[in-house]
Parts: sequence; C-alpha cells; structure tokens
Amino acid sequence: MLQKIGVAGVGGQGSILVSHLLAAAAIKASMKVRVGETFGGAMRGGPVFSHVKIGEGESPLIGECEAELILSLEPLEGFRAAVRFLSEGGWLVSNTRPWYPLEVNVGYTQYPTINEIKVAISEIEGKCFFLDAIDLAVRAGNIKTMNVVMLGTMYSAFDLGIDEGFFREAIMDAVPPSTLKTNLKAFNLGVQYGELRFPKARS
Amino acid sequence: MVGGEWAKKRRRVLLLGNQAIARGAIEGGIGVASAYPGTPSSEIIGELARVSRDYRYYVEWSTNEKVALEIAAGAALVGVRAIVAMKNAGLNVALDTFMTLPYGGVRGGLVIVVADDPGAHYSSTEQDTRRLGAYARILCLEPSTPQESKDMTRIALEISEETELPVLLRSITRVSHSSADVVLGEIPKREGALGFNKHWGMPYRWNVYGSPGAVGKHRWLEERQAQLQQVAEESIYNSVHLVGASTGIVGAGIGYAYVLDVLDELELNSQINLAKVGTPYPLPATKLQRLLESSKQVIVVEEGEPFVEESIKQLAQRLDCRCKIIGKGAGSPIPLYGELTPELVRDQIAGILERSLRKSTKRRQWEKRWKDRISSRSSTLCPGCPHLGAYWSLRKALERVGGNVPIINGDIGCYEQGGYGVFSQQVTATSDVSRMYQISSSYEILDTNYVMGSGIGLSQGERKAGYCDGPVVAVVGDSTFFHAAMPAVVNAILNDADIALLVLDNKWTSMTGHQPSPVTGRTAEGKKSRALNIAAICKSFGAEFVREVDPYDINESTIAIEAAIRHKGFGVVILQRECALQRVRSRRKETKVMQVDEEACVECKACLQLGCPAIRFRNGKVNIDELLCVGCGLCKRICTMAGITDR
Repeated sequence: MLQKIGVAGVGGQGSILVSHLLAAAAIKASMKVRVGETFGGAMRGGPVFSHVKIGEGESPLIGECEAELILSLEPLEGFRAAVRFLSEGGWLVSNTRPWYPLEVNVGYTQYPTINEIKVAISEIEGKCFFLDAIDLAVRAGNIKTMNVVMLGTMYSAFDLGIDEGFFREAIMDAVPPSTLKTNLKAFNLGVQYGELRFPKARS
Repeated sequence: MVGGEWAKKRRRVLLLGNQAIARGAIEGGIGVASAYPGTPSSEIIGELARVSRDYRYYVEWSTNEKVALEIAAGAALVGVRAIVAMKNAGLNVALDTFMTLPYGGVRGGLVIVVADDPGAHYSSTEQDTRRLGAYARILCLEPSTPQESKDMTRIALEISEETELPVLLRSITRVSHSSADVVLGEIPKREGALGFNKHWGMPYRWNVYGSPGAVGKHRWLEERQAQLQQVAEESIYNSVHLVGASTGIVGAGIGYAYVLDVLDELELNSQINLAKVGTPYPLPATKLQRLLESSKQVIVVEEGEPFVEESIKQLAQRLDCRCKIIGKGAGSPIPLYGELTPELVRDQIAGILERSLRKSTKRRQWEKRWKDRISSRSSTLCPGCPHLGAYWSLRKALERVGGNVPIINGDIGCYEQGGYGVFSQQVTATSDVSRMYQISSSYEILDTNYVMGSGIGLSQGERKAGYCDGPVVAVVGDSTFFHAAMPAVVNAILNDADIALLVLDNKWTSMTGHQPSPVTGRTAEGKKSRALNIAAICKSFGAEFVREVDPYDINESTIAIEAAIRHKGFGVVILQRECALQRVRSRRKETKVMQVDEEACVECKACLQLGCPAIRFRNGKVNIDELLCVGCGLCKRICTMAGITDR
C-alpha cells in the first residue's frame, strides 16, 4: 500500500486539487493524512509539488528519495520532482504533454525529452509511464479535468487502500456542482485507462 | 480547497492549517476578525469570510495590518473576542500597536496570528516573529500540526481573557499551508460581555498615559509574566518523556513533528529523552529542567532562529547544569537560514548518534548528472496581465527619454516579478557607479525592492541626495497605495520631488489570492461596497500631474509615462485595467486568441521581450499557445511586422 506520494505540476494545472482529493479520500477511509505544499507557484506558472503522506508520519514533508510514487501533470515537473524525491525503484506516472516554461519559450534553456526522463529514472531502478491525460480530459468534456483523469489512473494502477467510492465522494464535495458530471466522467476515464494499460503497476 | 465541509457536520475533515485556525477562532467564540492579505496567512480571514453567514461575527479585510490589529483590539477593549492575522512582515507594520497594547492588555480575548515563512517561499525575509512575542512580553504559542493550530487558537482566546493580555500564535508556511485530518470541536454560544469601562481593573486601563503612566503599566506587565509562566508550565502542549537516555531532544512547533518522524525511521524511540515545546515564550522551565538534569546532551530542533535554543541555554546556565545544548548554526548541518527539512533534521540527529546518512554516493552522483537537464521554471506574469503592458510602456518611455541610468523602485505584489531577474542569471556584478544594465524583458526592470510602499520614499531620497544620472521612477499597486504608500505620496507632493509614480491599478489585491482592495468595491464577504479612486485622491493631495491610462493601450501609456518623467516635480500615472485572471474567471463565453502569421514573422523577438508566457519561440518561429492566450492583444500591438492577428 502506497504511503508517500508526490503530486507535481505547473501552477494553474490543478495539481493541488489532486493532492487534496487524495487526502480527503484517505480521511474518509479513516486514515491519517499529511499534505505539504506551497501555493506560491500556483497560478503564476511556477512549479508546484505536493507531498502526500497517508497512514503514517507526523510532519508534512516527504524526505528526499522517499516518494514511492510521483504523479505528475507535466513531464518536466515530474522529472524535477523525481530527481529529488523519487525512491529507488519508485514510480513516475506523468501526463505526456509539456507546458513550456518561459525560459524554454525564449530559448534560454532546453526542455528535456521524454526519452531522457525514462533513461534517468531507469538508472535508479525506477519505473516510468506517460499517458495522454489531456486527450482523456477532452473526451470527458473539458480539458481542465486532466488533473482528475490522473487521479483516476493513480487509483486503479496502484494500491492505495482506499475504496473508489471515497474518491467519488471527495470529488463531489470539492467541485462546483455544474462541473460534477464532467469531473466524474474524467475520473472514470482515468480509472479505465489505468486498469487497461497498467495492471502490473499495483504494488 | 477541499474541506470546507463544516456545514455537512462531519467530525473529522481535511483542513488546511489556516482553515483550522479559522475554525478554532469560531470554536473560541470570536465576534470580530480582521486581516490584511499576506501569504501564508491569507486563508485565515478568507475562510472566516467564506463561512461568515453561518455564524455571527464581523469580518473584514483592513487597509493594512496596523489598522487590522487596532480593529481587533477595539473589539477586545469592549469585551468581545477577536482574531487578527498577518504574515511575518505584516507584524512589522503593526508593531507600534503590538508593542503598546500589552501596557494595559485586553478584556475580551485577543489572538494575534502571525504566519512566518522559513525558506521565504512568499516573503522578503525569514524573520522569526517569536522574538517579537517575547519583545512584547506576551505568551507565544507555536502549533506543530493543523489540529494543534485549531485547538491552540481556541485556547489562546481563553488564555487571553484569563491573563488579560493578547496571545501570539506563531504559525509557519509548513503548518499554515499544510493539510491534515482535523477533528472538529463544538461551537459555543457566545456570551455577551459587551461594554466599556475606562478604569477596568486599573485606573486609565486603556490609556497608556493615564495614571499610573507608562512605567506603571510596564510594571503591571512584568508582574503578569509570572501568570504567563504558570500557563506555560501547565500547558498540555509542553511535555517531557524521560527514558533514562543520555541524549535528549527538544522539538518546538513543527520541529517536534520532524523529530518524531526521524526517531521512527532510525528506530530510536526508546533511546531518546523527548520534550515538546508548544510555548516558545515563556518556556516551561520546570518540565525542561527535568530534561536538562537527566541528559548529558540535548538537541534542539526548531523552525526559524535559535530562539528556543538560546532560552534553553539560558535556563541551563541559571540551573548551573552541565548539559550540552546543541542547536543550529556553526558546527551543525542545520544552518541559520532556510527552512527545516526531514533531511536536515535526520542528518543532525543521525550525526550526533552516529547513524548513517540516508543518501548514498551513487544517488548524489545521479542527481548531479541529471540536474542540468531539468530546466528552471520561473513564475511569470500571467497571459494578458496588464503589468506586461505597463512594463513595456515604461521601457519604451525610458528609451525615448534617452540614455542615462534610470532607477526604478519597485514594490510588493504581482508586479514585483518585474524584479525577479529571470534572464539575469549571468550578470557580472561590478562596482561601477551608475552602470546601466540592459533591460531585456519585463522581468529585469525593477532596480530596488524591499517592502510595501518603500519605492516612493526611496525615490525621493535618491533625488534629494542629488541623483541626476537618469529618471527616478517608483512603481506601486492599488492595494499597496492605500496600505503604505499614501504618506510617502504626501511627502513627495510637499517636497516637490522630481520623480514619477506609476500606480499599477488592476483592481484587486492579486498576488495573495484576489482579495478586494479599496478600489474594488467589494467587502470580504462579497457584498458591494464603496470603491475609492486613486486619481482623485492624488489630486486632492495637491498633485499637479495626474494621468489615467489603460496599460493595454501601449501608445497612450508610453506617452503618459514619458510626460510624467519629463515633468519637473511629482508626476503620477495610474495604469488601470482589471487583473487578467479575474477577467477570465468572470467571462462566460470563449475568449478570442491571438495567432502569428509565420510568413510575416521576421524573428525580431520583440514579442518575446513582452514576457507573456503564452508566446513561444520554437523551430525558428514565434508561436502562441492557444490554451494559455487570453486575447489581450498586447503582442499584436508591439509586433513590428503587424504579423499577429486574432485567430
């Protein structure tokens, strides 16, 4: 059962909602939870990383090299988080579409390739998979639900010890009622994708 | 934020530390809540405003932290419990009142919440405001989790009433902005104690100068310290657990949480005498004495300055105790700057107890090998941000005024990103006087930046000292104008300083989460209210040069800024356009987006210098990200080839 999960993204993608939905679902499952994050980069396009500790731990931060899973809404942010926090043999699960930083946009720095990221992760015996969560979100009806798609995939691909119903309840509690149907559809599409493509990921 | 589930009456919910503080204030029976937005404290009053219609208390965003504290103090003087919240720098603004209020104290409970920011994720300094609690001689509580944040807030209000002094609750980013499962408590019926008595318990109680005068009230305050000491001794948030070990560890605030995790990981629980400190001032001397007298060495783990460490050293000296006290700074893996992390705490404890460090050499080498492939990602101004237009216009105006070395004095808010220096990582600093550095984007434009409202005073000082190597300009936002800048503006008008002031009025206090400012026309609870007019205010102060322009209109803005700079004396240009994020949120239909005509593009890269994150230079051509673009048209206006159009 996973206990130390990092959630990475770019400010504005909704990674913080993912960490809170995961934590809220865990609480409904009667687990203890700690979430550590900062909101500075959020909305201003900076990196966002949330530490989610389920079931054990008193402090809100995951130690370096301790994250069993890093769920990322964006490849560069997943890579950034993994180099610091991913444990040997840990999982990096990332959305595949890049969100280019200003530095890359003006040609000041380079964006890493997906292949580079895979090679890097393999060097610490880690495992890595990328999915086009944006495509699934568009199918659900709104591109902004990409974050909830990723939550669904995480649920079905890994053993979190939390019933699916608790995730749905958490989504119902959190999102505006007019977006509920789309969000639940996005979650379902993410779940189905996880079941289909990565049944072996369950630890 | 998930967790605003109070109405659903669940007992155990996910709460952000700040939401927990808000809940604690309601459980503590507040009647008044006030604050000025300041990260990481803003969600406290934000949450109280969000749920206020379910409870009966008054809540507001005040013009600045000093006013906010005075509003809460006013409530306390007439017997009503109150909470005021601010960030670390905010306490500096409120310090006059903070230091003087304890000379006489309060009747209704008053809790002053200050959220520090170790690591300076959101702040200009890492200052540790526990020192200011001790400076003001009031009880300081330091929570280590969101649960404690809630409970301590409620208890602070009770203690404040018992001791007749305000109580400081010192939170930090990693508690205020962390989330955890929190068990909710009951909400009491608020009992009326409303009334005013000018000689309540002491002649001229609320009047520092009235007999017995300031010294007499200082004496009263000193006599109260014994009562505060008693509170600390009896507090459940201070504990000591002896196991007969030779090493002890004291964890203060969140330091305790890190210590627990490290002791678990290293399996040292039965081998360490452990103490928790939840009242860094005053320290629970009796409990700590037991620890000091049974340990050969004691490690102190705390977030911020070595405040508890120094106090424990003083205590050990008073007790004539030989115990070695180990903290942060020289000789420790934990430096005096930067925030605590699990690694630092682990390294310190593991080092002293001779356990191995976690990270292998192989891992360190791996990280080093890959770190250059991880591009930095600077935070930026948003697509469509009016400040992009304002800064572009300022650059153009400076070019037109010609040569020389301008000084652009910045301020705090989203526009402070004009000083983040995103592309200046390769600057070679020199000691040449008045050296002109290239401004290559909106992010290199601010030359000075300290605190709220400081740019205007600095500008005047630069001029009055005789600086004449170039234009002197100050930049300020709408919220900051009222918070801090007005006295400096009055000063500039009276001394006729030859400076230009740009007021970037985007209608909201944006950086901290879009709280209303005095120009917005909304209350904290979202009701309509009066909206003040900055141009009218400047004119009423007697400013002779006041112009209002739209920062999306680059031509108009550049002309106005140039004229303000050329004007001999104080010139004000107010650049008014609502924050793009707020506009996008309130828009119902799809917005237009811009696109680049690839054949027209000559790669001059003028549009890239605008600083908009939606504009990309890929494969030799400029391209606009249709998911990010909000269609403001700034790039269209600055394109040298008229190559950007509506899609």
